[in-house]
Formats: sequence, structure tokens, C-alpha cells
Amino acid sequence: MKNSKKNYPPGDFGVWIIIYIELLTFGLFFLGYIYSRRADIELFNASQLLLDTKSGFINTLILITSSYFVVKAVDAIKTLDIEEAKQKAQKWLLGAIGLGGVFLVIKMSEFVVKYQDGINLSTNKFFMFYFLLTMFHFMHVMLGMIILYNLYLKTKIGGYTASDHRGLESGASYWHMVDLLWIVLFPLIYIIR
Amino acid sequence: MDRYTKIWLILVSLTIFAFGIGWFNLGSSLIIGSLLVTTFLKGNLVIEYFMGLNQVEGKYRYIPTIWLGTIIALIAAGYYI
Repeated sequence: MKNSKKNYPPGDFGVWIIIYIELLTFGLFFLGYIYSRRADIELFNASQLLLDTKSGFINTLILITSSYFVVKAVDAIKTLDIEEAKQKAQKWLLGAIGLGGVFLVIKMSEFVVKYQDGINLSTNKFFMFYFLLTMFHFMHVMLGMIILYNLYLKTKIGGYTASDHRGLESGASYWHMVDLLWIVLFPLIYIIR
Repeated sequence: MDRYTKIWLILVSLTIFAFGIGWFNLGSSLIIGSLLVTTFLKGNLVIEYFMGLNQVEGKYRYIPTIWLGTIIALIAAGYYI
């Protein structure tokens, strides 16, 4: 039987190098968090109770759904005829960008509330990790949205087809990585105590 | 219902499960263990189906999964040991 699996991941290989580096970088941050938590579990648990778990939960649903919209856009380009694919993929991508925007608004409002309560990077070790990890992730969401917007513009002019959609897959892979990082961040920062 | 919608529904369900643990402040070892397992499952669903690595052979497919497994194992070690 012929093996239909590919030798390389979807999209440009360069984006995968970036993804692997990002995973490694966040992995080191996670390691730092785990190690520091071990040293002062009570402080971490008490500080964690000050976080808004509902916001974290809603933002997880938002990113998961946004990732789903992106995968539907890629699937539309791969499987539908050119005109229909263009129309559907545009809508899915716009939906994904919109959800990314909602994520940023919710996260920003969380930051504002914390600052108003007098909590910042230097409050304690837990909040140092909280702000570093979530702000770093926040910047990745912003970059991801810029990438998605460019994918949307190219989709709008029919720049992707069933046989040529490598750029779309590259951007989609980056967005899924942003989702993957939050999937780990949410329980680590908000839930486990 | 297509495959991606089914996966999205599983991801949403597992996220609700995680939120329930946090909301009701459930912190027994067994529950945290379940949370870590479901987090691994969620991440792996994104890696395999959304990123499309289930269509890829060899090392490139497994790098993100190994990363995820290592992080989850380290979180578990930090929690239990």
C-alpha cells in the first residue's frame, strides 16, 4: 500500500523552525514557573486565587474556536472550488481575527484590573511569571492576528488555491501554536494549585 | 458533522472540565492528574489535527508532541514530588 504521508509539516519549513524555537522558549518559562512554584507553593496558591478564572476560561474557548475557524479556512481552500473556497475561507479568517481581538480585549481588561488593584510584575514571584508569560503570549496573539489579516487579504484576491496554499498553511500553523501555548498556560497559571 | 467540528467540540468539553476543576477549587491528586492528562489530549488534538501533523511522517510530527509530553510531565513532577 502506498504511504500518503508527507515528509515535511504543512506550510513553509521556516515557520516550523520558528514554531520549534517558540515552543522551546515558552517551555523554559514554564520550567521556571514550575521550579519557582516548588520553592513557595503557598505564595503561588494564594496569588493564583486572585486571578479571574472565568476570563481565562473564556479566553481558552475563544482561542480554541479561533483555531477551529482557521483550520476550516484551510480546509475550504483545499477542498472546495476556487470561488466558493475564496468566499468561505475569507469568512472563517475574518471570524478568527475577530476572536483574536476579543481575546486581546479580555486579557487587556484583566491586566488593567490587576494594575488598579496594585498588582504588577514586582508584586511577587507568581505575578512576575503571570505577567511575563501572559504578556509574552499576548504579543504572539497580536503578531498572529497581523499574519491572519495578511492571509485574509491574499485569500480575498484569490491568492490561494487547492494546489498552492503553502503560505496559508504557514500562517495557520503559527496561529495553532499560539492556541497550543494557551492550552498549557490556562491550567498551569489559573487552575493547578 | 465534519472531523474538525467534532475535535472542536471535544476541545470545548475538556476546557469546561478544566474550568470546573478551577471553579470548584478541586485540588486532589487524582483530579489534577486528570486535568494534566486532558491538557495533554487537548494539545495533542491541536497538534495532530489542527496543525495537520497527523499527515506527516517521522520526527517533524513528534517534536511538538514530545515537547507537550515533557512539559506536562514536568508540571506533574512539580506538583506531585
